[in-house]
Amino acid sequence: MPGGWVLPCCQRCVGLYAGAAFAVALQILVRPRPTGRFLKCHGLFLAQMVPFGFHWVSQGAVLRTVTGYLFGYGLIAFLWLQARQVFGLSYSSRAGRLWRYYLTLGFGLMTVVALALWGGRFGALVLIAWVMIGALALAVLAGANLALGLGTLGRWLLRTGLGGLR
Amino acid sequence: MNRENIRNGLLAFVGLGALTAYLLACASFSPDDSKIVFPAYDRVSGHIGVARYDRKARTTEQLFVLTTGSETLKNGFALRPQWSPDGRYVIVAWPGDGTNDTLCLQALPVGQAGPTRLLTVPGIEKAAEKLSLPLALAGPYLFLAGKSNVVRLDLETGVTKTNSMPGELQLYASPTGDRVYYAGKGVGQAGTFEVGRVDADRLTLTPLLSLPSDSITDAGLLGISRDGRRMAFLTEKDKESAVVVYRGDRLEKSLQLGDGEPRLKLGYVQWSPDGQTLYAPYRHQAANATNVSFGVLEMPLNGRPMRRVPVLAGLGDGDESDILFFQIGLSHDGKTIAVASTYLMGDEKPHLRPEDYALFLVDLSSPKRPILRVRLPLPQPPRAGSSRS
Repeated sequence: MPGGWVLPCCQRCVGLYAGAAFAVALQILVRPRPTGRFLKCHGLFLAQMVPFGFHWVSQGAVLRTVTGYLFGYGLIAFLWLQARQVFGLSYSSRAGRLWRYYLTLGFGLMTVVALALWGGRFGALVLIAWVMIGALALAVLAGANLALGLGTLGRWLLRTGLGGLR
Repeated sequence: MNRENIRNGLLAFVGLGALTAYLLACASFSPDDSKIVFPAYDRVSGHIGVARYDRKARTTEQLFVLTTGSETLKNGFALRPQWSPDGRYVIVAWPGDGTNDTLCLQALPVGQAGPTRLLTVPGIEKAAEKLSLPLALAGPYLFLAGKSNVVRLDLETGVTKTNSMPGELQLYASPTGDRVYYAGKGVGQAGTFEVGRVDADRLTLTPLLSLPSDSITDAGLLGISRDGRRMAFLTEKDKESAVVVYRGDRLEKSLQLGDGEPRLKLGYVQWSPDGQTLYAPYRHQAANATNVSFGVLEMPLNGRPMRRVPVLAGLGDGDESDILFFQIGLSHDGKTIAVASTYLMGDEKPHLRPEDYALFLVDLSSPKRPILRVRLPLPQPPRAGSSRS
């Protein structure tokens, strides 16, 4: 509760949605190419939620926020793969832009934690704004992926005749 | 479909699945104000225990009953239940049987798999008195003020760490559950009442505020704001009581409790989440009256008048110290105050009518402050020889 303000969600969720907001911005501005290493790294960001989410590991407020933040990056990275086509965005052809991506990831993480711990009311307002942006971004991406998936499934059913529509 | 599209599709499916799993599981990760724990006598045995009220289901269940120990302990008033900061456990604390320098604790897992942990901490002087205040829980630790020391207990391993301290301390957890504060006399300079923070790792003290000790009526009435920057005390000067608010070491506000209200006794102060209002339980006996009332006193810090919300009225006389047995809990969202009348039962003169033995929920979001009364089943009559006969 920075500045005594009750945030709209728990510490882990604040990290998740703020991380998602940062990650979406980076996907649009930096357009990192999803190399094998990039995907494995973000797969780890998703997987780390298992031990922390089930409280197999002792954790405090900061670690909860950090794990949520990284989880947000993992979600966006995976959900962006197909959804970017809907928005007409391509990956950057420039090599070496990933360092900007990871640098911003680290800077964003420190900023989120610092705002939560010491930001007071201003920090609370900024975090609330990031949470809203991140939640909206995740909702849009989830919707886009669901729509694409259903579209693909529909086309496959039509092609194979299993849909009984022929 | 080429391989890349198939890969992207599968990974997108993984992402959707991870997001779905997280959203479904998220409610168990933090305290959500949906359940309230409070002391309650077991209906069958009449022994003290802990009950849990589910606000959504509107049901009450007994979680814990103290069945071992002397009759004095089992029928007494010194058992305190409290949520752990992460909401994973209900911590139940009671003093050791036959000794007042041992604290017994039970950590009951809630909504998750895991063992119930029973812990004992010796060397805690006046353990029963220490339970008149909320437990100083921060993270996975419980902090206790022992005899000239501070003890940190790891609730999962039972390992303790101790550091010597001067003076007589009371410890307080911040409402956010991640810091611990202390207050006491004789800690710093002689004749001063000092307040500060406890370093959770080194168990050292960092003073934040120092006041003349004769102006503070009771070290147990300290209330700390959620951002840890302001503190509220009860002071008394020339028989006039006031609640004073300090921001750091600067006096910010003084709230007079009214002309000649020596019969208004306040309990532990709590801050609203936005830092604009103080809440405290009160016991009031009007002049020349033989009965008393208990309720919640709202003290706005923006100049608006104080407001008393009566919860129980027309009770037997009792004692001024009964206010210690009427403690309020403020929900994390600041919209509800919960208070149980459990400990106003019994003793030499019963204070309560049967319908007053209840958990009371005061709705702060409504201007009329409606009160939901959750009646509790009356315990069996105490057995012969118990302190509640």
